[in-house]
Amino acid sequence: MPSGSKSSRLPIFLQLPATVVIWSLVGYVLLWLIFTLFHRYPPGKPPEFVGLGNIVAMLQDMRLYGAVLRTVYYAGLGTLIEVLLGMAVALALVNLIKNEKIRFAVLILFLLPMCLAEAVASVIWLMLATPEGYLNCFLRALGMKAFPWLSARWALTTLMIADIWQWTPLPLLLIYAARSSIPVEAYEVAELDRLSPWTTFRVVTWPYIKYAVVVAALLRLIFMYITIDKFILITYGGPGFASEIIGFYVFVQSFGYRNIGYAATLSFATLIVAAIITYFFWNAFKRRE
Amino acid sequence: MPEIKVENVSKLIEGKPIVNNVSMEIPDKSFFCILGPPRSGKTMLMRLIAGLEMPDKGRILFDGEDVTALGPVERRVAIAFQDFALYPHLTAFDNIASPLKAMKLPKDEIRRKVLEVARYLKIEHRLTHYPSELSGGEKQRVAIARALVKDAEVILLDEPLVRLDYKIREDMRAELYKIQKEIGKNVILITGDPFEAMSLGERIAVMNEGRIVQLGTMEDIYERPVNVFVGRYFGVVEMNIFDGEIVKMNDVASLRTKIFEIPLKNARNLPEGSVKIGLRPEHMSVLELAGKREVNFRGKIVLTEVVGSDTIVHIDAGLGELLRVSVPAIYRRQIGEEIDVGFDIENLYIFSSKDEKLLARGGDLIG
Amino acid sequence: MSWKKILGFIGLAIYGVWTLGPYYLTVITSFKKLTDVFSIPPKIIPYADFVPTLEAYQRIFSTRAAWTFVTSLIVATIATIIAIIVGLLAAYGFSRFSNAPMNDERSFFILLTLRMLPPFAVVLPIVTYWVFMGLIDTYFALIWTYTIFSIPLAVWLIKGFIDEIPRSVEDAAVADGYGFGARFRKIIIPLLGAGLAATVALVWLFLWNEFLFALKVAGGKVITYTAYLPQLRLGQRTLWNVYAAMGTLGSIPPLIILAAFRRYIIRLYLGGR
Repeated sequence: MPSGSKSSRLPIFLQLPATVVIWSLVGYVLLWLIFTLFHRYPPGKPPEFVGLGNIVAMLQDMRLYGAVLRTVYYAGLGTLIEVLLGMAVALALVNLIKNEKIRFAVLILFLLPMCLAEAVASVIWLMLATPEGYLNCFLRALGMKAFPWLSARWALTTLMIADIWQWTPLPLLLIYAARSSIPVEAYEVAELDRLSPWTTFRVVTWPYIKYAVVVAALLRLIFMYITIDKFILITYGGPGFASEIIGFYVFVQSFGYRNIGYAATLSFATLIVAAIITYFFWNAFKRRE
Repeated sequence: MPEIKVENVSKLIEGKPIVNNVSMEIPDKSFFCILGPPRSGKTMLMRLIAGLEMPDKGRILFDGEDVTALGPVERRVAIAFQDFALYPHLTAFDNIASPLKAMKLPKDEIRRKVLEVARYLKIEHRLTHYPSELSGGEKQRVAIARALVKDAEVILLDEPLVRLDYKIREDMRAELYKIQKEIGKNVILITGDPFEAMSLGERIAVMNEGRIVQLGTMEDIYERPVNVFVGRYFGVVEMNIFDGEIVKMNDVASLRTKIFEIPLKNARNLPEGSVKIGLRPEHMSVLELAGKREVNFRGKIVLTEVVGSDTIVHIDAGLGELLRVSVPAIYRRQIGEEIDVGFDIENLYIFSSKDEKLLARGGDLIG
Repeated sequence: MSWKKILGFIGLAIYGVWTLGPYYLTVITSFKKLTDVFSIPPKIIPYADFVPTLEAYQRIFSTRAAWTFVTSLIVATIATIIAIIVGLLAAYGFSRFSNAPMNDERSFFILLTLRMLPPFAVVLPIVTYWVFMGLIDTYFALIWTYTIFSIPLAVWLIKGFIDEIPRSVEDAAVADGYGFGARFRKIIIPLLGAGLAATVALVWLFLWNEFLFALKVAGGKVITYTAYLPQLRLGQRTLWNVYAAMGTLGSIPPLIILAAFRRYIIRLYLGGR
């Protein structure tokens, strides 16, 4: 512990700016949410206290359950594919390209999509997926029929594909970094022992990359849960509710329907869920240390 | 060149006392040593004496003046750290000049002092290099130079040799001794190596678990360790400890073990019952090399270790514990061979079984 | 070469086309005349399939669309500066004073949780707040909001870098006689070096790319390029080349940062995790 700071108040002074800045707003936000979720705000009239009314409504909200299911599909399957694909590409890079410089250059190129704004990725994918867009132009040039990328049936999946396009590089990078830290000797031993590729992976590679995989998966899960940029810019929840995930539903309640009380209820619930997931993430991280 | 007094100093981290009610006096102009195993609190004690930390209880006095609230600069203390703690982004010259720059001395004076100290430590040809370009020994010299340059009254060396190669360590040890004598200041050495303490320290404080267990000269601690811990720890090779018994029948007393019995003349103060017997490996000898001793017995060789130009022979003599015998030569024998070993009674250490404190030396007991 | 390896290379190549293809299409779209944008088969080779033109960019630079980039720049830069300064202090506290109140693990966890909170859940209260303060749709409101959400990231990253500076070096500085301010200036900042630069870049990038708060806390008089994008969507009458040009322009800073900090990417992720 350093020293020279005889004033034991220095640690507190160090945290003051951050704390003041953050809590100037966050305190209000939390209090507002807690207050508002117990009230109803009919337009033009003063707010009415409804006790647990909003919470009850939330638990009975079928549209919400639809959103939950869609979120599980979108974030769950999306994360799974991103991690598996990222792992495959990371391992392929390491095993197939031995030249360090070329491999590094390729890696950097692969990282491009994740550096872009979600909004820019939305622009890109809107131009691909829109009925008159590039994907269908390619399909039709090949003699096939146009595909209903943004239809009620496929919109959510298309958005998932867009996210996969943009964010697979994250697991790719983390796993690549972990894989790069494995000493060559470990593989030489595996070769001497004549282990099969699968066994080599299971016994040599996996223990080292396990942590990176878990961190990548958790990160993607959390961020797919909380990011709705593509949903606002590409489908706006539609057609109908077909691409309405939890986050977007909250957004629509907040700014579309302006059900302030109910929106606050939903918001607060999602905050609790996010905090719980973060807690697990933190614990997994701590166990490593 | 102050006399330093530590009075009832305690420091707690998360409720646990790292330094527990320590009191001691460090005479001025001496080479004082704080010795202890890892986690004994010695580093924290050093930081308290330096002024890097404030004690939770107690106070620290330099020449009678209470300096507890003062920092290292006000106490005129200089420190050389075990990992050298050099500023990686500055050259060796700027590293050494750093304390002088903080004092806002004029540039030419800084230059003069730095060159003086660098010449003294024989590193003036490396001053333009960065720490990453220096060898371990050179980095250590830069660290010591930085400590010496500011003309402090107390120099603290925190395990300065622990990161150096074995051979360089020996050279540095001799140099440190020379430096202390020449600069005539208070040097406090923190170390975990008993051998280092034995070769450098005029006075040594042995620490364990946050407390000072024994304080004295090298001879004091070597001849009269206060308990089994100090006896074991403060030795070139770890002391042998095995069980024994004081038996008194009528007026005759003797010290009995599984393999020998020694009549005692002067055992009036010793209680009957079990004791722990200490015998240093360097006080044991092998019959065929050193001849017969007062007490001799046979043991089977379990292991031989060559350390430097000595051999440590581990034998099983039926005492329950293995005995280490230090032979001042290269002594090669087979495992399983039986050899005759012996020792003189005056070299024994008798410790209480109950609290492990030293009761007597063999010399006291045979008159 | 084994067939497995050939398959692998083909796989990597496909992944490369999949990754860079859509971006390439967007960039060339920005240089097309509106009528050239979508065709069957799609026109993908400049000069061969279509004649590149600056028409889309001219449209952007002759309207307020160009100003949205300036707004993004101003807002991101100012918020980043404040967040980094504030974050440096807090990160130092978390790193070196982890036993002191407000600097311990629990406080750190609370700070990190902020990062993981869904923007969609807090955007409504925040908008209400700024309306209440009479500052909705102002630079101040957006910058302040951005600063708040950037601080956790800044602290997280900087703390990792400060952790790597040995404490003994700071002790030596104390023993030399440097006070806290001098230590921070002469030891901590220089030794943070590239790590600090990378953190600044990452925080700035996050803000440059941000969308939701830009849309709702501002989005009227004060509008960033991301928040401006929905206004370009006119269904079938969308000016696709302009849309693509906006996206291309918005992608330039991220790519510059990727190229400039490529060496630190792995270090950053290993250090930050």
